[in-house]
Amino acid sequence: MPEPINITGSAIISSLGGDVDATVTRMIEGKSAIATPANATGSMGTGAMPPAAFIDPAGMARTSVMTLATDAARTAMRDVDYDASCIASESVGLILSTTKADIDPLVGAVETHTAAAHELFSIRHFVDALAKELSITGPRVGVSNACASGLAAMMLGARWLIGGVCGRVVVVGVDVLNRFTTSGFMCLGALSPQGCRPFDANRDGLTLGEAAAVVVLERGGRPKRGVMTGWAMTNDAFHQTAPVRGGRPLIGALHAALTMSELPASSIDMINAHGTGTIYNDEMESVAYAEVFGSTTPVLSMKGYIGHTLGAAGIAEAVICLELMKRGVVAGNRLLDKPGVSGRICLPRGPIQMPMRHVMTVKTGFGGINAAVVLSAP
Amino acid sequence: MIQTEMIAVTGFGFYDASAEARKGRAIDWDAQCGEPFDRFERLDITSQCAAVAVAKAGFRRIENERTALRTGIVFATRCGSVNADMRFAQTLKAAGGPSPLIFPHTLPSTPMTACAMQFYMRGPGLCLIPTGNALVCACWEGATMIDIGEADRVVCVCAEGGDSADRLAVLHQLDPGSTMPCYGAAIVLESRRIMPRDKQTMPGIMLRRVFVAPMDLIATHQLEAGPNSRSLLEWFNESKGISGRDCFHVDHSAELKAWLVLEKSGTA
Repeated sequence: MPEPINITGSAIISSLGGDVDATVTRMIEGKSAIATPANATGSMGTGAMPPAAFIDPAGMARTSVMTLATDAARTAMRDVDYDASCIASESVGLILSTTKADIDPLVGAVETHTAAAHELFSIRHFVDALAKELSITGPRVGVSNACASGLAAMMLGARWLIGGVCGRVVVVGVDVLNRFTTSGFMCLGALSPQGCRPFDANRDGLTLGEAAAVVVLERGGRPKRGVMTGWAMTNDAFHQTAPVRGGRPLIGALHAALTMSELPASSIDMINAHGTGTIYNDEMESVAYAEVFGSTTPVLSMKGYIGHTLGAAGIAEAVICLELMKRGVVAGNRLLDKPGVSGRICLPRGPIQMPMRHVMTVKTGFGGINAAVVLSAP
Repeated sequence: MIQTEMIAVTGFGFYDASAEARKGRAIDWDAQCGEPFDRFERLDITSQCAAVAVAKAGFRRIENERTALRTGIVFATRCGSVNADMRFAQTLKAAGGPSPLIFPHTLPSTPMTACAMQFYMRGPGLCLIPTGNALVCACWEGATMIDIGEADRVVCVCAEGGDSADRLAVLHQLDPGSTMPCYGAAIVLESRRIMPRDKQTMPGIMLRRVFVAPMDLIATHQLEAGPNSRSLLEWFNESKGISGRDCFHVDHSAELKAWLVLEKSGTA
């Protein structure tokens, strides 16, 4: 196992709250930000939205994607509880996890066919601008691995630290709602009209959300928030939008992450599933978890609370996992009435108090990407 | 610190679709790939360039499941999915509504997953949007994956979908002299640990430690340190002994001189 990677700071701005405490507290209380266009109170970016349920962005109070990202990053950097100057600024790296970054002006640019604007609002320019805002002068890059971007970015940060590229990595995940993305998922038939119900027999699609979340990774320092003890990625190499039935590649990623962490499957106290609420994804995941972890390890999808936050999902849900571990609570799967997956797994409907040392968080994405990270308590 | 001396370069491919277009030629898939690859024609242009580059690196579809699981891909692109973005945005206003066929291609990672499917790479996959040099960035991450045991071999690919005239004008404003042609480039990295013992010490091309530097500095340094294309070609020819393949296609372009800093290694 490579040297464990410490998570020395974290932050989240979600539709449930502007910080980790508010987000997790409301989640444990069973509150959700899912709304339909008819009763949503916030603005959802440019253009009219398709008729489906979305996370109500009223709670986000966002002014711009850059503001969201910088606010979350500054909060996470303040969360690192020792003198930030102990690491030179050129030795601090920045990784941005996103699918589209500053999508509102980007979409405006592509709709009017102005390549100039597209270039200015591209991901790489957003990365440079974010680094400037945060005064980060070290290496920086964008990661866009579809819905698995967040975990892929955390793995990349770990590799940078192991490889000596930098001494500290700020990993930022951000994505917001926009007509471009929502229309895309709608035309694929992937959006739920009334709100996602992960793992339920009556699930009918996913619910898109928006969030910004950040983790600060280091090899040294105090693991204030937790430790990345193992990780792995696999690829289905099968289809651009559909997962492999039976989840064999995901099973491979789970085993590889456990091997790296030198932990048996029985040590994992909770599985944070991708759990989108689509028919095939949830079915595939259930089969994989049943085979690797059996039927007693609680499986939690967070999508019923904060929606599917795309490029931010991996980091946002990792931050929430660390807080749940700290509180010793497994939240329930919201709107789960009757489980409707063939894998025999433990799907709590309400919160369970239990001590936790290790959590497996999983994200899968278009193109068949499977990412798994083992998070351990400090 | 990455132990790059244990990582060999066993394949290299470059495909310049812009040059082909300037010559008035469409992509000739069979000729480019050395065998019929008509399935590439269904891919978007960036994915096509990436897949052809991988094929030209001598990489063929993996048949063995274990080998597939230990083969990763790192894809880097500076422009990402701009062409697909434009096309999908057009369908939003079209009478038939948004296209479910185009939408998945608006993800910058599409060429990576397309290559993974075409060549059956089931190991780790990473899609990067670098601010610096794309291929160098991909190689560094691929080498790290091998070094810490996440994969035995990693196909490092970069590709761009090309520029329209107005897009080129913008690029020149932002970065005078720069262009974003339509191309794909691929480098296959392999751990020497998985090679037969008699090939582990053969001369070959190795990555240099120069990759261990902040990524946006690498491109600058390599402009000064890169080998000329003739020596690069010689090195790739010598590395045939390691890979057991005979299908290296080296393009004598200035860009490649800037990108690669490799050194001959092993005992003769």
